[in-house]
Amino acid sequence: MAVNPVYHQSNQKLQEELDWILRAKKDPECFGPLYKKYHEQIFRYIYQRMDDQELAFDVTSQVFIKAMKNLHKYEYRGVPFSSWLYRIAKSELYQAFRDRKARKTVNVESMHLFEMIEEFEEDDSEANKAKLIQCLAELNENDLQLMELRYFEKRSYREIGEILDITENNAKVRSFRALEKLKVLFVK
Amino acid sequence: MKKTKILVDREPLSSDYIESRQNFGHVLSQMKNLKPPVWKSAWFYGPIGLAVVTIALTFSNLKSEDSEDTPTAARNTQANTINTLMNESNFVSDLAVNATTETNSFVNEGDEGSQSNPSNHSETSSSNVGGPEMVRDEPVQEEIILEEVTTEESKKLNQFPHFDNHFFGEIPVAKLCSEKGLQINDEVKIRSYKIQFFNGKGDESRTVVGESIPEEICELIREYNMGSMVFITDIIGESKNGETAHFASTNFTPHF
Repeated sequence: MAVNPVYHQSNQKLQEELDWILRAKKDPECFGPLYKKYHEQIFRYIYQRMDDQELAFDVTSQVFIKAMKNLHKYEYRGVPFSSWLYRIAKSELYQAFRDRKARKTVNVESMHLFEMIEEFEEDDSEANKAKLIQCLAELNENDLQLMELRYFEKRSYREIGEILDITENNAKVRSFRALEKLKVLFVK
Repeated sequence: MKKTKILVDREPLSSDYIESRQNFGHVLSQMKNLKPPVWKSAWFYGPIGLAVVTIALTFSNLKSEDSEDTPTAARNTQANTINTLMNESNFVSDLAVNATTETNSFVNEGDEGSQSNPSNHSETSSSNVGGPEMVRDEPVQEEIILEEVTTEESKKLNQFPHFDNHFFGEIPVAKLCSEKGLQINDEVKIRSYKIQFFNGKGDESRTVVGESIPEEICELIREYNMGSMVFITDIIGESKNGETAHFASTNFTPHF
């Protein structure tokens, strides 16, 4: 599984990031390097769950505004700054679904769907693809979120854990259970 | 809530395009122009603060009215009586001292009458002795005062519900969802309370039995209520004596 190079960083990179954060806490204009580093990552996370591109850019801006406004509350816990940004992004996303009547969307690639069908040991036919899409829509919100993070966005369990504020092991267990539920729906 | 839309093979956006849409200057200016939320503005805290103070004063007045029927009132009366007695005895002893001084000066001047009447002197002495005896009562008064101070201190115990000393407003979600949960003070244990939050579909109110918020509610709070208010109402506590009491409602705005 691919590793997100922006997320998984060396200690030196994390230290550099911490220096930017400390400077930005004193002067918001110093937030620039953090914005530049994480803008694409956060935008892709939001756009993955939204249909409207412009709204996704708008929500991304809101995430960074909120992050800058609340930066004084940020505490370094040895994990990348992006895990904090993801949590804000998640909260802003739900707010957009609620206040701006945005449509919750799941974006999948056919390739990922066929990979999943193979894992269920079924034929990778178009009919099965359509069936899997239908089954995905039947999953509850939490399970669908795990499927997205793990199987469509190809994130590591550690990253999933940090985004969802759970342990790496818990992320692994929950992802497995979600996949099992999907399998049950699919083979039914 | 609308059903989730599933899109297959949407055209991906290039990194260059996303980068071209970066605008840090706009974000910075937006952040600077951001107004504080309604619950942080002065006009909100004016009436709310006033209401809280009024409730607190009413609550403490009711408490003190209840406790006035107790032996403290009797002790107060006793203390007042002793104070009055003390003042009187001091006055008497002053008089006695004055009288002795006058008598001595009279003796020095060679008045035999005063010498031939020892009973007068002894009376004066006895009244003089009465002074120190009454003064010896002073520790008793001190003791009573100390008792009163202790009673006053016990009244000062916190009566407002809190999560790890956060009484209302912004709170880290970890503290809101900690195992310690909602607290009052050492004398009162929380029995139950209602928590109102947004569950993704609408506002939901649930009754929490005990102090800590169940993990299932915490997950919903982490998911949907970051930056929006969670209300804690109908707080019922139980004292060590088994008496139940209702406590003032509060609200929190969880953050990361």
